[in-house]
Amino acid sequence: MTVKDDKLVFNISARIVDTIIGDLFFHDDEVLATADSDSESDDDMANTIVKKAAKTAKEKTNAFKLFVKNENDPDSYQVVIPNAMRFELAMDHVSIGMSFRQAATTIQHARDHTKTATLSGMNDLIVGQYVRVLVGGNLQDISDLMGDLSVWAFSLAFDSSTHFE
Amino acid sequence: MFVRHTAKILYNLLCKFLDALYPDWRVKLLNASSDGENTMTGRHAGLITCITWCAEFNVLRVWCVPHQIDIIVKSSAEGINGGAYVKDVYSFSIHLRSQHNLIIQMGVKSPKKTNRWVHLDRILNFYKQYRRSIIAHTLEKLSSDMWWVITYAVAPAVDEINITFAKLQSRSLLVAQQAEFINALIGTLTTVFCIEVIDPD
Repeated sequence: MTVKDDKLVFNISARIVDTIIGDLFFHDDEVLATADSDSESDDDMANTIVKKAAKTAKEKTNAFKLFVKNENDPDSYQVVIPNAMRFELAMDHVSIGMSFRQAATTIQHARDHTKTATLSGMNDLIVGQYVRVLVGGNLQDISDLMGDLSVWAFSLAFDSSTHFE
Repeated sequence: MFVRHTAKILYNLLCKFLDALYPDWRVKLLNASSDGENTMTGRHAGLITCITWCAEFNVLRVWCVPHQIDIIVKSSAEGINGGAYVKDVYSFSIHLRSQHNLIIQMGVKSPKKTNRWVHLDRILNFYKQYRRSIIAHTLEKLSSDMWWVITYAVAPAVDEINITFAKLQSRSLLVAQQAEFINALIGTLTTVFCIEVIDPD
């Protein structure tokens, strides 16, 4: 992650974006499972499934609007966040357990009371996109750490919550 | 993680994730610790077993002590009175949580019983502390004398186990120091219940 002129730039490898964020966090089974079975005929059923699939596909494209293929390096995505303060404020709110909608509304209130124009135009979808970018950025950092030459081993712990009850 | 948690599904998911994160993870894997449950450590298809097979070098497997005690104490608690006791504790807490008059009168609400072991202790101590009000309110309809006797007998042991749990969870503790605490716990429990340890030979 680099900062310049109030801009945040994340470089995230295509493996992480495509597999983890794009695939593991979305699931196609849901489309079939949530298609209601109370449709009258099979045609209706098929239509519902097609509609739902189209809707999910659209949601996925929207979710990935911020991720742009890097021109110089086809194996990585670049995300540019133009308004660093708004991004960081949103992430601070989410980090204390606020929902996306709450975070967006809080920022709107902050904008209204402080008359700060740069905080305008926040909504829950943008917060969601920001979180996705941040998760990608963090995974990239972990990946860089694991790939570092001075790191020669790592350890996996399953169900660690028992230790920190 | 939207499907069943069988070892194979977990393994495929984990591999997919780690492959995307760092494709050479198999070379650098040093240690895998788990709760020792069957899905994790099964001899043929446990998750840890599969990971050990695909790793480049020998993997250090840790089945951590708090997790081991957790499995044992839970199963022993469920063995009390053929499983009926723990079930009663559970349903009694649900009943008490919905008694609004009693809650207002005592000024406290019964803690929730979950499958977390530590919560059993909280709930038993709650019963002990507010025994009179609870008995007066339920008019002994719901809890038999035997149930209260078991509660009073079990609570100190659960207390002791939880103290050991807290010690074992401390961040500065080394794996080598854990045995000492376990032995101390066994010592205390044998004294509390006057158990004689007989050598099988």
